[in-house]
Amino acid sequence: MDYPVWQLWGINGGLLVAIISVLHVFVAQFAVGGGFLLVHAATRAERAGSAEATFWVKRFTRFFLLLSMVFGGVSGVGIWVIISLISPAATSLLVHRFVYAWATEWVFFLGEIVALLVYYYGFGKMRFEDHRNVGLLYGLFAYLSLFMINGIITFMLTPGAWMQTQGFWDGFFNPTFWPSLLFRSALCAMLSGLFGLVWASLIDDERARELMTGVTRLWALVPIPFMAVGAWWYIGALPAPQLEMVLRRTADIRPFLEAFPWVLAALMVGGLAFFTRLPSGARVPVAALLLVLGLCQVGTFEWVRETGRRPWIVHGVIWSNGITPEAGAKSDLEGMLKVARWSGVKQVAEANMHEAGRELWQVQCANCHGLGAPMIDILPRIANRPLTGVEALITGQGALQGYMPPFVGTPAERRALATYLVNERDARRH
Amino acid sequence: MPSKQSPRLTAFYYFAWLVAVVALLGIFAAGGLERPARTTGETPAAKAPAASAAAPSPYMPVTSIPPFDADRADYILLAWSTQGMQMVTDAEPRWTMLPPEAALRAQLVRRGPGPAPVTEGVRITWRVEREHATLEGAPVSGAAGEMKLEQGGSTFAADGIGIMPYRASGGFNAYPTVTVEAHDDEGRLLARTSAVLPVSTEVGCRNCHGGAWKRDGLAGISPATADDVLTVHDRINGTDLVAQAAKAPVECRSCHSGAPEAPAPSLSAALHGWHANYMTDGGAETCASCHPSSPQGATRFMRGLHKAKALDCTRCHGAMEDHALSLLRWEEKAGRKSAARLARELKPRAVSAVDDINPRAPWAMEPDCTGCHDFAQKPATATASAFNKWTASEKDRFSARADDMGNLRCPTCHGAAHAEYPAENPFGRDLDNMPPIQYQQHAKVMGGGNNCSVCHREPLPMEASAHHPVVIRKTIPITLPAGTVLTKPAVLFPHDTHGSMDCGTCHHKGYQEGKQTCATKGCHDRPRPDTIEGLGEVGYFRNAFHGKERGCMTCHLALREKGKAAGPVGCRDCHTPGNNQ
Amino acid sequence: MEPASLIPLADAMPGPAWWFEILLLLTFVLHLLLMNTVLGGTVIVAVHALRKPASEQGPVRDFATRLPTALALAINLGVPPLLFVQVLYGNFFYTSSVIMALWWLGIVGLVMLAYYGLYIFAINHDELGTRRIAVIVLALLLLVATSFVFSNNMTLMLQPERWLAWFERRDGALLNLGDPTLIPRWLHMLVGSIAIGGLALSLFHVRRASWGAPDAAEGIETGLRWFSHATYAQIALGIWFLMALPRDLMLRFMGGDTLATAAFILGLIGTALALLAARARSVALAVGAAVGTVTVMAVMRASLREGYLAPWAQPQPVNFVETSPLVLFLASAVCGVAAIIWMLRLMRSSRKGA
Repeated sequence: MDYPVWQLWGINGGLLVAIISVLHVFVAQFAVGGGFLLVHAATRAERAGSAEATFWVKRFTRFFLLLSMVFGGVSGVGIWVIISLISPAATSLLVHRFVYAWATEWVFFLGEIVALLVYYYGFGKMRFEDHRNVGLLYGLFAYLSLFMINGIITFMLTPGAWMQTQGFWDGFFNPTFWPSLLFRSALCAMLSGLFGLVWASLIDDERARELMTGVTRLWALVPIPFMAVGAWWYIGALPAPQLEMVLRRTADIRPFLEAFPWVLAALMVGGLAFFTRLPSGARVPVAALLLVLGLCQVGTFEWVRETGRRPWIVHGVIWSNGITPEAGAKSDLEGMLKVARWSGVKQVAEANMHEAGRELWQVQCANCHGLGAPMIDILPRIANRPLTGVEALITGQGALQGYMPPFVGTPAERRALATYLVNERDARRH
Repeated sequence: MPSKQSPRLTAFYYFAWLVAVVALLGIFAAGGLERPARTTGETPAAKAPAASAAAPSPYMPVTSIPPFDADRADYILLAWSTQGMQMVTDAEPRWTMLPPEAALRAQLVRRGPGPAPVTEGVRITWRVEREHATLEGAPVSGAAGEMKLEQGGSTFAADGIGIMPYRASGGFNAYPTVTVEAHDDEGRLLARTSAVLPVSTEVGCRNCHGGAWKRDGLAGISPATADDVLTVHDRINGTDLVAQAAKAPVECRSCHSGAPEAPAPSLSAALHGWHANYMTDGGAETCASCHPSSPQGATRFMRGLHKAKALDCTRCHGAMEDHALSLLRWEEKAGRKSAARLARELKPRAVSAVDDINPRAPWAMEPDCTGCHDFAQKPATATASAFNKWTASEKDRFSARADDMGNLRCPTCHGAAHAEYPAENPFGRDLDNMPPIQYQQHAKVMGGGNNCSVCHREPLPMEASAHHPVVIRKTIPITLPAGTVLTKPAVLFPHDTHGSMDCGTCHHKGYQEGKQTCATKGCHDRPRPDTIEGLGEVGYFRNAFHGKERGCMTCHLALREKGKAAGPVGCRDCHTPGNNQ
Repeated sequence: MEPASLIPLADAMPGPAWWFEILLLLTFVLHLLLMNTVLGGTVIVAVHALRKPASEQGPVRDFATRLPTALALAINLGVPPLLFVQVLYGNFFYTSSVIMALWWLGIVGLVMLAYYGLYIFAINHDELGTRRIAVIVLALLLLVATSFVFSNNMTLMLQPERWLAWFERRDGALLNLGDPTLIPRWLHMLVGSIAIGGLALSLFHVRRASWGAPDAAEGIETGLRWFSHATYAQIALGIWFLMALPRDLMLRFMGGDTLATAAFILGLIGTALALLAARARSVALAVGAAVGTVTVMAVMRASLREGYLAPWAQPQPVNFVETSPLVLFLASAVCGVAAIIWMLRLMRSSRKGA
């Protein structure tokens, strides 16, 4: 409520965050596992004396350079930018509370880039052991940066003892830190294997192809049981309110939760296929399909995690719309329009119901809900309801169905918001 | 790094990159354009659902009060409905929640001296006056029936009357009248009276669930509304009521029976408990969203003496949150866990903590009259509240209570709940007051105003009433100017009840020698003038009380206009015949 | 509406403000130097691509292949100053970012596509033929656009009185075009980048000269020439920038504030030194003086920021102290830098078969 709200058109801010994040995670986590996969593959190629395989590893490294460093690195900054724009208050909280975690992650990111550059440009020029060690350092730095970001992301869902102590380590090593780390580590390994499988399947030289497929399929398959264990542990570590949210039967989360194990199983089956003699024409399509499934896996996991956190961005501290319970209590007494700094209307009256409603909508709702646009479009959810009905929905939101934060503001402001929504709905009907 | 690259791949990269750059610049261009605001103001729909017509039913002057010969009649027959308004959900064919099952009561009193209720040798029957739809399959169908004597008492009862507020010829009427008659064993008519048997289907689900009224734009739950209710229920609770309703009407009570073993909360607890979360911070208007009490509606059933004292639903039943919490606390006591979830976010209004709200069982535990009435002094209308003071059981409810002698039921003399005499029915003057008007020509509690003789056939002091202690207001006689001829009984003025007002409101010229009466010399000291012009003069004594700017009537009418508690405005309420005793 | 009422409250920091100011300054200088290398270097490469045929691209051809790496490091080194500016001035910075949200989010696309453009130029240089000119010019425009967006955000965050424009246009499409200091400031940054880019070119060729590359001398010469001409232009732009400032802020650098004035004087001296060194063909001295000047200019920039924000003094929340996370960061920084140095040494020394 302290910050202005970016009024997007045609797409809602939450969806932008989701798109940028999922794409970033897909690429970045592939890089995390990839460091060690590269070393593994290079060592195999070297031991087998296959120059074609070694060449392939170098080309695969260049792929890392072009995809994970460019797209992965810049999209990571992209997440930072979009969350600052959509949720500045929450971003500010995370930045101020965990600045040294972010700073440490940056150090590892720097080490990761330098290591990758050295690994690529030194390929074929350096002694094998030295080159391998640089590769291991690359994998290590990448993994450490995951370690750091994992602390912050899990903090958002389960702040744990931080709620009482406000302590950095309590927040960092929170109840879901370790299960999430296990799960994500395995996920990273699997993703690097999936990318690798596609690339390996494209190698012309048969021996090199067999060698590299032998390496990458291990990476694609072995992590899967660990992912299952990690996911199970993750759910078990959730406190009751978060668990209730994750397990709720509403359409915004249930299908994703149910899809998760099926996708994992499909990945397992597909991975196993590469341990058999696949017909040559099938390799690339199957590998590509597995890669798509890997993206789906990332998608379902991140979706369940984010959606299970509703209605909070930082559980118990800030709601998804950037409002804190303290600011909410103040707004209930004085009016949200007065408390919000960037509201163009400061007081609701008969003459300005529509404009007041628009301000209320922007500050409290537009973060997550589209208005005649994706996602969670509000208009179908108020179809056919008279004004009193919409007002009642606003009054009761969050009380019985926990995935919503409560409306903050006075009863007159509720009516103003209801008025605005009904006007917007009816204007689109004609 | 520079090494041989494939020309085709290079071309591909080049064009793909170009497309991306153009797309990015396109997004910037699109974003930079000005966009007009979608809407600028109100559409007609952004108002509350259209209020019903001002006078949805034709105003019905009461013409059917049976005659009563005060000198010769030996019996008084009094009849009343137990609920004052029966709420029926006309949501068929989708679902049934509150079917039509009106209940009528009657008592036959043999007049005195030494009056007593009659229980033997008589047959009490009832008959609906104007044509109404009745529901087939209700326990009592048709437009007439006989009343049965209740066990161990002197009250005759007819239950489950399937009356509906729709005339067969069309139109809505929430106040059908019944004629009740008492015949002896030989078939001779002993007494006849008329009473209303109120019923309404103006149940406001559509106010939130959408859809139109089912009948005449006034009442009934249309299929669209009913469907939305079921759809929401299915979504929230994982039921399949919409599918069930396609085959047969869903009976809400089949799950919400209120029985201890039922997994779902009682109907009242479930409905109020759920909806209270969606309807907070309101007063009586919240009740009117669903119940037929909307001041713009076709029923307006809160119409009795309590309403005239500016009481609304919340004074007895509590605000919505409190009302729900009392029911949910009872459910929690009964061990139903779902109640805790419903109550979790509700904030009590009248008390500070949820634990301070007394649990109540629906229909059995209602606001107790003694919560306000201690029979020692009149309740303070501004603050008296019976919320949280529930009857111990259904036997202590207003409709089931009797006087101290155990003879007469409270509504027999006082009228039905929500319509206590004198009631002001918006759809027919004195529709609810037919019995007292019939017997004592005064819309007031039977025998009120020192009129014990209506039953006792002899004057008796009210202070000695054996029915229950009667709070006698201290009154002072009004000094009249010399020469005044009384055309009505003199008024006894309850000075103390006006104590909270500023003295100067009435004593507007101040005090002389410590006293100021209306008829003080030089003030309102003249008896009735002879000329018509003289009738309007301030000095005319009557105008001290019936004047244009100041006076009892003036003030009382102004307060009523504002919906505040006001004194009486009927002639007999001040000029009570018993005053002359 | 009072602009002061629009400024969100600052969040508490895990340490004193001066500490984060130091971190911000140091990391910003590193980012600046690398960013200048990329932006200025791309200008030089693009101009060469436009002016000269492919056969005469010698001095810049190999330099261009280093640009993607430089950009990678520039982006990476942009992270800590972005982090610390949010810690210190987040309440101003997030606000101005939202006001120009469309453009601010756009830098992600601009930088990513510029990055890919530089890679295509470097890797597929020969196969592109004349298309490479379109690629490098477009990549340059993307980078220039990025710098313009940055200048807008950095100036808008300092001027809450200009935030009121948001109430007329809330879709994030605003810029800070009404600020008279925007264009001179941006051009000063842009041309400064060209100067540093020239020095980077020279530095690149100094190393190649050590093993006798044929076009090294020409490369050094070209780089120094770009540096000198750009720096002369910088002097004029710098004066324009100074004069465009509000009077009280301008006077800060002319005696109003000790630190600011000292930095200004040192900056002028450093500029002069660098120009002299360039004339004398001493690349090391020129680079040293230029780095010193850039550092001092960053101090001036920070002082200017302080001057802008002084009237908008906010209630500062009580900062909390957290030592162990700081220790974590410092330890990781030490280990990280050590590992980086080790890797770079290894790359230079380790030879296959040795």
